[in-house]
Formats: sequence, structure tokens, C-alpha cells
Amino acid sequence: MATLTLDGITKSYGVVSVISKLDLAVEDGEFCVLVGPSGCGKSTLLRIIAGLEPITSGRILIDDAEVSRAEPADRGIAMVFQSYALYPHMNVDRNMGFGLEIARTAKAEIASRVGQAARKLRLDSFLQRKPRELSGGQRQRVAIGRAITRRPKLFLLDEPLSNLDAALRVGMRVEIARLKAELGATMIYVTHDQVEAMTLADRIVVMNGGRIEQIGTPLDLYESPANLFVAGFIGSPSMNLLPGLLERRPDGGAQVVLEGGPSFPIVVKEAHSTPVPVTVGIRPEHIRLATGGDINLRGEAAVVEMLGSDTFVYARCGEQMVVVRDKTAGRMHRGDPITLSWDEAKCHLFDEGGRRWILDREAEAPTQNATA
Amino acid sequence: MTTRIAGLEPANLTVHLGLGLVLLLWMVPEAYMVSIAMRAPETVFDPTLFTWPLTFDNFVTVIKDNPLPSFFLNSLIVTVATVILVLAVSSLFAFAVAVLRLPGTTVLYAVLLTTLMVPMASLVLPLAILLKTFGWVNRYVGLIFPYVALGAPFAVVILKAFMEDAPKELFEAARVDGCTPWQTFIHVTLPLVRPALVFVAIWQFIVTWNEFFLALIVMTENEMKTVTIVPMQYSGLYMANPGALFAILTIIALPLIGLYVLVQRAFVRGLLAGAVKG
Ligand SMILES: Nc1ncnc2c1ncn2[C@@H]1O[C@H](COP(=O)(O)OP(=O)(O)OP(=O)(O)O)[C@@H](O)[C@H]1O
Ligand SMILES: [Mg+2]
Repeated sequence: MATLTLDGITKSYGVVSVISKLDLAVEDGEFCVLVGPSGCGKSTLLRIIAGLEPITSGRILIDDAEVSRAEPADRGIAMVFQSYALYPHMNVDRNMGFGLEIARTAKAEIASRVGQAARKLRLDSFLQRKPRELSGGQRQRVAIGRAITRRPKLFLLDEPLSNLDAALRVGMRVEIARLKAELGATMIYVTHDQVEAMTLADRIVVMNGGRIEQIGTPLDLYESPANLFVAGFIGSPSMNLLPGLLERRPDGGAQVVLEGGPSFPIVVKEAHSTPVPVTVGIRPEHIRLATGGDINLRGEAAVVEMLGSDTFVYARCGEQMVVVRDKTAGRMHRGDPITLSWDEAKCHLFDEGGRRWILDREAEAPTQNATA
Repeated sequence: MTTRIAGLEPANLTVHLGLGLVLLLWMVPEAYMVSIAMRAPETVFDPTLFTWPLTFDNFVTVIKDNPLPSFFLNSLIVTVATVILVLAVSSLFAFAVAVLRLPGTTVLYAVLLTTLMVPMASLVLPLAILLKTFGWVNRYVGLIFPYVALGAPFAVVILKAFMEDAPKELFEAARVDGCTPWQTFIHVTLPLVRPALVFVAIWQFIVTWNEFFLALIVMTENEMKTVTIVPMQYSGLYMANPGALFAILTIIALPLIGLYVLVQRAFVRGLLAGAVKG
């Protein structure tokens, strides 16, 4: 149970800056997920919080106490490593109790805490085994058990499920969701997996190139991505991003002209007299394979992926490739002519710098989103 | 074992026969050593591998001639002390270089490596003078310390490689678990590199037990001599007793052979573990 505050954290290796001026506040009991492309500094940030990596500048506060220079063990954290990092020569029992053993906790207390964690993680019958005699999922549970027995204020997990196969991963995800509810502890969780991020997180931190692009609840990020990067990163398949021009109409309103495509009116506060380049974002699941929306396009199906529950159609519309997610497209084939349409209300608009363009409908009447 | 051989493919059988042949050739000097040790003076120079009858007279001679138990004890004291010190010093140094990465240790390591290139022969004279100055002639430390100094670099190379091979998250996990560097060393690092420790121990044992040159110079008093010096007296320029010479050589080799048979598996594992990760 703790809050975590990162205040202007900077980390560089020599001249290479890996994390620059990063601020983050994590609330008590919050499940905070760090996502971002490979190499963006997620692990580095987690290791900085753990105290395994010294910072170049900035301050780290756990429960309002500064721990920037404290040893990992003095920060009240526990870490679950991607590779599990179980001690190969110790059995499960000792692996889970080792931290307590080092802290000179009484034997009986260690046994009771390890027993408790083992029951919680259904590891009771494996306590005498060595890590190499366990399956991947069991090792993962031991790694989590080792973290639990220390009763940390802050749990740090670095891609804990990435070494598991797909089925196990789903199982463990549910398990982690259960633990999160049971322990009510503050957790920071690094992942590559969108589904993990969306389902587990109270808040998601999207990182890119050592900076934070956006912080918000999963739905926040999905519904109002702050910039092109977040728009493209959150959601799978990712949002369609179509180039266009924003220009003033003769009647004083504004409209967007899609490159090589139709134009549609859009309500913006300041429409410049000269056209400005913009990017229109539309999620695959908001496009219909029918006519009748505010924006209509014609094209042909270039690739059709049928997953059973959904079908992804990659449609070629002139120069653009547009992905559509539809439930009814089951019998579509490559090369079939198709029509696409979507509503203006589902569109996101980004300016030339990639920042979200706040549309009038959002600024003034956010509730109209669904009805417009 | 027999079922394995019976089930061998013809190609495998050829390989095994080939290996067996090489082994036999390899064993000839050993067999010859034992054979000569068991000959009477008349047949000693017979140009055959085996002669008849066998005699144990030579063994009786060398055992009667020499206070062998005391020589063995000296060898054992020097060897065991050397092995323990080499293990302690080199594992700690390797830990400092490979795991703690203390500043300056890589330079020290490079310097240490250069000592591997210096031949023993060139060290004997300076060492002898040094030991004399220290008053360490005819003392155990006079052998133990030079042996440790000479053996440690190789041991460090092996142990450092092993420690660098170990996943570094394990050492980080130990830090998160609250281990001081000492505790990380004892509870995590040493168990992780155990095969390497066994290998280094056996290797150092063999090298030290067999060492002759320095022992000959440092241990001049009879009570301090180690076993390897004993054979000297049976091979003079004008008088030689090959039977006795090979008898004492056999006696010296026996403990090593026994030791090797005991720990053979661990030794081979130690040799291989560094090469193939996993
Ligand atoms: N010891 C180091 N020296 C120099 N650069 C480093 C070092 N460790 C990490 N980096 C760099 O820091 C950046 C961030 O690495 P980090 O491991 O935090 O990425 P990540 O977001 O966890 O990526 P992934 O999702 O692939 O695990 C990378 O560009 C990496 O090259
Ligand atoms: Mg990482």
C-alpha cells in the first residue's frame, strides 16, 4: 500500500539519454500499466523504481519519502522479473522465503507467510521442488509468490507473462486480476500485450522514446488518444490514419477533404482560411461495410482475415489502405468490390504535429459522442 | 553398460573401437610404470611391456627407505591449503570483477592474466631469494603462497567466465531480496558456480600434488619434503634403481587416480558447463 511519485527522472548511459524528465504519480492501490514499443525505456524505468539502476537526476518518492538513493531492499518493493530469476539451487519453499530469511524473520513467521502465499497461488504441492522441475506457469507463480511473501508496498512486474504460451497467459492474466483484487496493493506492470494492458490496468502509461505520451484509463486512451502515437498504439488492429486537408467552407463552416477521397463537414472552433494538413483517425471497428454513413468510400478487398468472431478486411481505397473490423463480412473474398462508411462523430482529428485536435463536439458537448 | 554396447549401431561400434584403441595407447606409459615397479632387478631392462614373475620387493624397498607417511602428510597439507586458498581468493576476485563490477577490477584482471604467460622456470630463482629473505624456506607457507599466487589466475579466468554466464537477474533478485554483496556471494553466486568450483578444486589439487621443481628447492630438510621429491634419489647419474623409482611413482599417482575416479563426473561437467550454455 503506497503511493509512488517520480519527479523529473532522467537516465542516460553516457551520452545516450534513455529517459528524459519523466514525471509520474501513482496512487495508493492503483494498478498502473506501462506500455510502449520495444526499447522505449519501460524496463529501465521499472528498474529505476526498483533501485537496480541509478538515476542521472530527479527524485523518486515512495509514500512521500525520498528513496532516490536507497537500496532496493530498503524501498519496500518486490520485483517479478521477465525471466522469473528463481534461484536454481533452492527449492520453491526457500525461493519464496529467501527475502524473509535474509531479513532475519523468525522461522515460524517465514513458514506461515510462505504457506499462505503457496495456498493463494496453488503451489502447496510443489514446495519441495527445484525450479527446473516446474512448468513455465508454475515458475511464474513462484516468482509472484516470492514477491507476495515480502509484503511489499509496491509490486513491480516486468512483462511477467511474456514467456508463457497463449493459453497459459490468459490463465495467468485472470490470476493476476484476482491477486490485484485480493491484495489491493499498488502495482506497476510492464507489458507488450494490449489485452493485458486494457484488462488489468486502472491507468495506462503510454511511453515512447523515454517520454510519456499519455496517461489515462484504458477507455480514455481508446476514446481520446492525445496524439497520433497513442492513437496508433492503442487498439488492435490499430486505428486507420488517413491524410487530409482541413479547410473553410464558403458558408463559414469547416470541412475535411480526404486525400483522393470525399470531403465531409466537421465542427471545429478555428477554421483557417488557408487549408491545413490534418490526419483523420478512424478505428476499424467503427467502419461499416455498407453505405449510409457521413463518409462513404469505395474500394476493393485486398486481404481478408477471418478469425471466426470477427473478420478483418484490408480494403484498398485509391492510395489508402483501410482496415475494417466487421462481424458480417464472413463470406468476403479477395478482390471483391466493397463500400465503406463511417460517421463523422467517430472520427479523430490530429494536427500536423500529431496532436489531437479538440473538436467542438468534444469540447462543448462530450455526451453527444454517441448520438451525433 | 553391456546392454548399451550390445545395442550399439555398427557405426557407433567403430567409433567406440577407435576410442578404445586410442585409450589403450594412451595407457601404455601408465601400464609400463606399474609393470616396471613390479619387476625384479634382472628383468627391469627387458624391452617388453610385461614380464613374469611379478614382485612387490620394490614397493617394500621404497616404503622401508623413506618415512612415506610424513612425506604424504606434507604433500597433503600443502595441497589442501593451496586448494582452499585458491578457491577463496579466486572466487572472491571473480565475483568482484564479474558481478559487482567494482571500478578498477577489469584492469587488475588484465594484469593478472599476464602472469599466466610467465614460465615457472623463470620464477624459481627470484622466488627462492624472496622465500629466503622471508625465512620461509622449509616452511609450508613457502610452498603454499607461491602455489596460490601461481594457481589463482587460471582459477579466476574459469570462475569469472562462469559468473558472467549466470543470468544477471539472479544477482538483482538477490539485491531486491535484501542481500548484501557478501550474502549474494555466499547464498547465490557460489551455489551457481559450483561445477566450476569443483573443477578448479580438482585441477588445483592435481597441479599442486604433482609439483616438483619449486618443492625441490624450498623443502630441503627431510621432515618437510613432499612426496614428489622422493623419486629423485632413485635416479642418479651413476646409480639408478628403476624398479624402486617406478614403485614410488606408482604410489604417488594412486591418490590422484582415486580422487579422479571419485569426482570424475563433476570434473567433466565443470569442463563442459562453460562451453555449452544451458
Ligand atoms: N546498459 C545500457 N547501456 C546503454 N544503453 C542501454 C542500457 N540498457 C538499456 N539501454 C537502452 O535503453 C533503452 C531502453 O531499454 P529498455 O530495456 O528499458 O527498453 P524496454 O522498453 O524495456 O524494451 P522491451 O519492450 O524490448 O523490453 C534501449 O534503447 C536500450 O538500448
Ligand atoms: Mg523490457
